[in-house]
Amino acid sequence: MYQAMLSNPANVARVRAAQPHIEQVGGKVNIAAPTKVGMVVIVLYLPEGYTPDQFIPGLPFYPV
Amino acid sequence: MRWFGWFRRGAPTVESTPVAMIGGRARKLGIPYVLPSDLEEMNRLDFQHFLLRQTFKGNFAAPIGEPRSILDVGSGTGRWAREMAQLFPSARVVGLDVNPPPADTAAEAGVNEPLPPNYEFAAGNVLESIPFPDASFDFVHMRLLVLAIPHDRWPYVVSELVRVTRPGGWVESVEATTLQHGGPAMDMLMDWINTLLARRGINFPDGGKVGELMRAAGMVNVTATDVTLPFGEYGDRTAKLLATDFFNGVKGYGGLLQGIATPEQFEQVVAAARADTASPQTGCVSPFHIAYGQRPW
Repeated sequence: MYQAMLSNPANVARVRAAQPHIEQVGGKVNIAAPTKVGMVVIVLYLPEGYTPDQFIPGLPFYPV
Repeated sequence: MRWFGWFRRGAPTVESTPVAMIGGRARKLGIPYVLPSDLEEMNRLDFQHFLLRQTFKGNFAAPIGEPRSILDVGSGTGRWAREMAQLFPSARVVGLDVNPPPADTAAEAGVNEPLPPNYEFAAGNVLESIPFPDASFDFVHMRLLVLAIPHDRWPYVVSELVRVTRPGGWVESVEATTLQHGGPAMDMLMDWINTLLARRGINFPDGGKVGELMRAAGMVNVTATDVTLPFGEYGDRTAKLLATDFFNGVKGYGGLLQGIATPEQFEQVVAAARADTASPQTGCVSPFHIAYGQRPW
């Protein structure tokens, strides 16, 4: 499982765009509602052998 | 130490960032920072701020002159930014973090004294980007974010600090690295903490390399100073206060060490480390690293 907290809508849109590709390999994407100050927590569940950078390079996901 | 328990008891505890109870403490989701996000920790961070301000004889080291705009990255409780706003009343001072400081919320609710009129909070995650245009600030400050920045993200973070600094402006970083000469129990405790941090890609020694990263990012007039402070009850007032800060903060790792140490082992090792570092024979020290540099014109 990986998590990130994003505030740039363009980056959140990149995650949404990658969601079908992640689900295609058996992964899952949870995008929380924005906080009061506009931060969005995203949780990625990826099958073994995959990393976030393979789908959405450059975003600050970290393993949990 | 009960001080942390009563210091901010009147303030509301509004969280706008999702938190989860992990290891018995509330912690933020979505960022790799592992320490809790609760009232006790907020009070500890304020205590730490006062301790560092006194120890380093001020809130900054860089020759910033009279800045018109100041950014504090990872502003935490917001204490540093609010004090800078009072010190430089004609400057615009922005505290950047993923969550507004409780003191801001309390001020808005009329519980605390009003915020300085030239201070504001901005939401953002420095690991993603600093949400300001290039060359926005005369002085950009970041302190004790080593527990929040994964190793592979450091060059990007420093490049962001430089990007939002105007040509001729200053960037300053204050970081700490692993306690040294604390005896076998402290060494074991540090090993456990480093193992935990490594799971999130965080590398404690990175805190000592910010000066190098500033130079690599093209900054000039970079000054990097290592300050080694005595730590523990054996030492002077600063040493005692550093130990108070550390041993209150280290409780935040408890409950996160699954697969590394049991809660009982953790308690025993913390107690042993506290006893060892109280002894002058041990001579424990706490390394700090202050680096500042100027963005070229």
